[in-house]
Amino acid sequence: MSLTLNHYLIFSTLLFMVSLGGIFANRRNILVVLMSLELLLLSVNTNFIAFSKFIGDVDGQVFVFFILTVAAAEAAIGLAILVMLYRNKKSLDVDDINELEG
Amino acid sequence: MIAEYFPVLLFLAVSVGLGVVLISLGLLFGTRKTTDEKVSPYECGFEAFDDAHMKFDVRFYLVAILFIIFDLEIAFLFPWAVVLTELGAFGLVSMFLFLLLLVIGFIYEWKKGALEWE
Repeated sequence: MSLTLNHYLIFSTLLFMVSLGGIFANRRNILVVLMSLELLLLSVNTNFIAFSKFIGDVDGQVFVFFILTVAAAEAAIGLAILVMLYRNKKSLDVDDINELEG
Repeated sequence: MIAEYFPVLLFLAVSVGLGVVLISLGLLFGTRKTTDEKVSPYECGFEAFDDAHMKFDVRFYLVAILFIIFDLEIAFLFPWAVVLTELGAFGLVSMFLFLLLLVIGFIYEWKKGALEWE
């Protein structure tokens, strides 16, 4: 059995589902939300690479490079926000940050 | 192309196996008699003075962030360095613009004191 485009697409869709579930179902820690976001970007990267290989167009790989950059910057800023949040609230619980009530 | 990585995989397997074998040899032939005194944490011979928790130092975080940024810069430099002769003057100038932006950021963090440890 050789790997086809579908295998990669199914794999990245599963990764995407897992990370979406991590974002929505997670009721404990904001750190887990950030990790899920990283996983989300990784699954998109997998998609890009798979299409780039099977269509034979190198543009997808260039996109992956920029997405990696954006993901790193986002992780850096997100973690900085988390550090400041923890300093002020002494907790990273999702349910503890409920000062705005709609 | 993929097949070229096979020796690396083999090397990885052998080194992990070697580590496991050496550790288990120690477990097999060594004597293990633990006492409370032996398993207590080592703090230069004294009893622990106070709580093991300590305040997290943000400087470590700052260093990690700066490492991520300049690590990415290197990731951009690698493909550029390989094909520089084919890119010509345009590629050189483009990368130097990119580096200029990074240097501006670097000067900013330097002047802000993000690189001071004391």
